[in-house]
Amino acid sequence: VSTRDLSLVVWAVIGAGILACVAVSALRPRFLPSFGRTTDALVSSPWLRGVLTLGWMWLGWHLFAR
Amino acid sequence: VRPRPAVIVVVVGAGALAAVAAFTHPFTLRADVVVAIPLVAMLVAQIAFAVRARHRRSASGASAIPAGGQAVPAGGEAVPAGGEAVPAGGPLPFRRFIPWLVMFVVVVSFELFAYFEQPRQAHPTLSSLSDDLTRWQVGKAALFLAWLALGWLFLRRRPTELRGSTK
Repeated sequence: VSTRDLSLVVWAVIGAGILACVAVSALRPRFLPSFGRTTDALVSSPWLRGVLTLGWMWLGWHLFAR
Repeated sequence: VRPRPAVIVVVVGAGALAAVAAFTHPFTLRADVVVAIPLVAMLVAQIAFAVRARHRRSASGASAIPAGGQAVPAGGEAVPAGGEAVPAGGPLPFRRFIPWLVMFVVVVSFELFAYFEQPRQAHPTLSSLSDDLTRWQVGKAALFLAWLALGWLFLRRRPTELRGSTK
C-alpha cells in the first residue's frame, strides 16, 4: 500500500463522514442541523460572513482561474 | 409552488456560467473572466446587503430582524423569500453544530498536513484531487456549480441564531 493510497483512503473516510452528516441532518434535523442551517448560523455574524465570503472568493480563483 | 422569476434567472445563469467554465483552462483570460463574474456579483451583493441592513437598523432602531430575512413569529415559522421554512423554537444550541465543526477541523487539518508533505503525488491535497475531477468538462461544470451553490449559502439571509449569541 503506497502513501498515496493511504492518503486517498483518509480523504475517502472524510468524505464518508461528511455524507453521513448530510444524511443524519436530513433524517434527524432536530439532532443535527443541515449544512445550510449551519452556514446560516455562521453568516449571522458580519465578521464571519466577511471571512467566509473572502475564503469562497479565493477558493474559486484558486480552483478555476489559477 | 412556482419559483420566482429571479430564482429561475439565477439558476439558469449559474448553469450557463458553469457550462462556459467547463471549457476554460486555468491561467487564461477566459477563465479569469468567467470566475470574476460571480466574484464581482458576490462582492456587490454583500455590500448592498450590508448597506441595506445598516439603513434598516438606523431607521428602526435595534431590530431583531436579520438583514434580508424575517423574524420568526412566536410559535410559527418564518419563510424567507425563496427559502424553505425555518422551524420556530428559538436559537439553536451550539452543541448541535459540533459534528459539522469537527468535520471542518478534520478537513482543514488533513489538508494542511498534505500541503506541507511532499511529493504532491503521494500526499494529494483537495485542489490536486480536484484536478483529477476537472480533467473532464462535466466534472468541472459540476464543481463550478457546487462552488456557486456554496457562495449562495453565504449570500442568503435566514433567521438562524446560535443560543448564547451576543446579537
